Amino acid sequence: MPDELKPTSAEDLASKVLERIEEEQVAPRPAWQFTWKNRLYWFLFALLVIMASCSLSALLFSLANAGWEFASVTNDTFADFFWSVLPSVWIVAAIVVLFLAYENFRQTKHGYRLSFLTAAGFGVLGVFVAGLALYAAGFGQVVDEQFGGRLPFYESTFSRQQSMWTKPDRGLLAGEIVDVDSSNMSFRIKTFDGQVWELSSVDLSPHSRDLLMSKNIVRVVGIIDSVDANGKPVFKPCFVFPWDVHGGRFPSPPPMPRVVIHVEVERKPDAGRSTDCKGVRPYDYLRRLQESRP
Amino acid sequence: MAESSAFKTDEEIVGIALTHKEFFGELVRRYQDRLGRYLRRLGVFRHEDIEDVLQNIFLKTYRNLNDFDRSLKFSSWIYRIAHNEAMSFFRSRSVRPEGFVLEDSETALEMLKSGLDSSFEAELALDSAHLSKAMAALDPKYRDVLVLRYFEDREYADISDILRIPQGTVATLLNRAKKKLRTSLSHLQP
Repeated sequence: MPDELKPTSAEDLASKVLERIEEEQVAPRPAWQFTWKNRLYWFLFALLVIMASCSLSALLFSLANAGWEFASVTNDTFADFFWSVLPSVWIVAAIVVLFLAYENFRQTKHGYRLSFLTAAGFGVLGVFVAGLALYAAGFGQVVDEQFGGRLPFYESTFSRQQSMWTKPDRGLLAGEIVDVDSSNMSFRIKTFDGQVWELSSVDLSPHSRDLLMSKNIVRVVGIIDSVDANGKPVFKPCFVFPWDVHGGRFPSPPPMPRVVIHVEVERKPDAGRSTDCKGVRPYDYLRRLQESRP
Repeated sequence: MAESSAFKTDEEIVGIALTHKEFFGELVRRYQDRLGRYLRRLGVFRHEDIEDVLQNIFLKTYRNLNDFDRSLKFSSWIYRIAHNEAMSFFRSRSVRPEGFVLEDSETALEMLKSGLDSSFEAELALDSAHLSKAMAALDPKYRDVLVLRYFEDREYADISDILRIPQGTVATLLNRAKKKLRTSLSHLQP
């Protein structure tokens, strides 16, 4: 019989193994090591699920505050808008972390028994529910801004929106209302780049004028009408929209106290309004958008 | 000690061996031949290598006795250790041998033949030599599940516990393995 098929006698091997156990002082590892190893895997799994949920909450915050209703105003095409607001960092982070969580789960005592689809299904559902809860609690904004502030390649949602809406040459301004002067039909707005604009409210609809009185942070869509004596462009506001924050609140510092100079003047709703704003694109859409809001 | 341990289950002996190491020898005696054959089927051929790997398996088993999960069969657990040790052995040699040994396994051969499509068996004259060649040509992940199912006669749940993969994956791998084996065998036929 060839050597490779010759069996070792059972007694020989058992004796050899017991001898080695004695000589090498092999001893069973204590049970607590295995218990804690399993607990560590579960802890890491939980941590990764929490991280995935945080990524999802930031993703939801980013999507909810992307300004979808203004896509045709801020960008030339919807595709442009879509790619500019797509929170790819959070999508990639959520997928990578969820995958790591699955791999970690497989290392737990019985984790391997669950198929990938079942584990992934439960994982995605769990992360989605947790992510939604975190988003609703305002945590998505915290994650978005903390990372926005720290990662060089990432721009937080507000920062991106503020850049998008500080383009007066494109007819876009946004910021904090400093004061409103009803008698002069003017108002002042401090934009996110720190500039203060004094703007006429003559061409604004009554709805827009009401918003100036009631809201602190607004978006203004308008046109560059002319240049003043100093050569500075004169921005003519046509539409005012509130800047609502979904799943969070406007970042600090808190808004300055506003000064409202209000003089009761009898005025017909559209009195004094020019037709210049009809040149704003997309005019009809913006009118419908404003009218559809409470 | 031999008489008292002979009637105890593997799981009972594990409990005793934690405090009385000499009882562990009974587990070695019970599993030496089975694991030796399993190692040969995985591709460990030389007698010296089989003995070395077997010693490593049993030492690792003893060291990790407290990690034995009583929801598993002990045989599945030790087979898992044996499989992992065989893979470590192949990694340390940087190669997995190409051959496949079909010795002392006529029952296994019959089981495998019946596991393949019966109409296929009727068309071809399956013999051990062809089967050995076809098995050797298979991807290791397919060969491993075929070996455990037909040569070690393990159920799907056991294979799942040994290889640490879901039962659904075991079924999928077995189906694919049988298809590939059929294709391989049809090419080997004159």
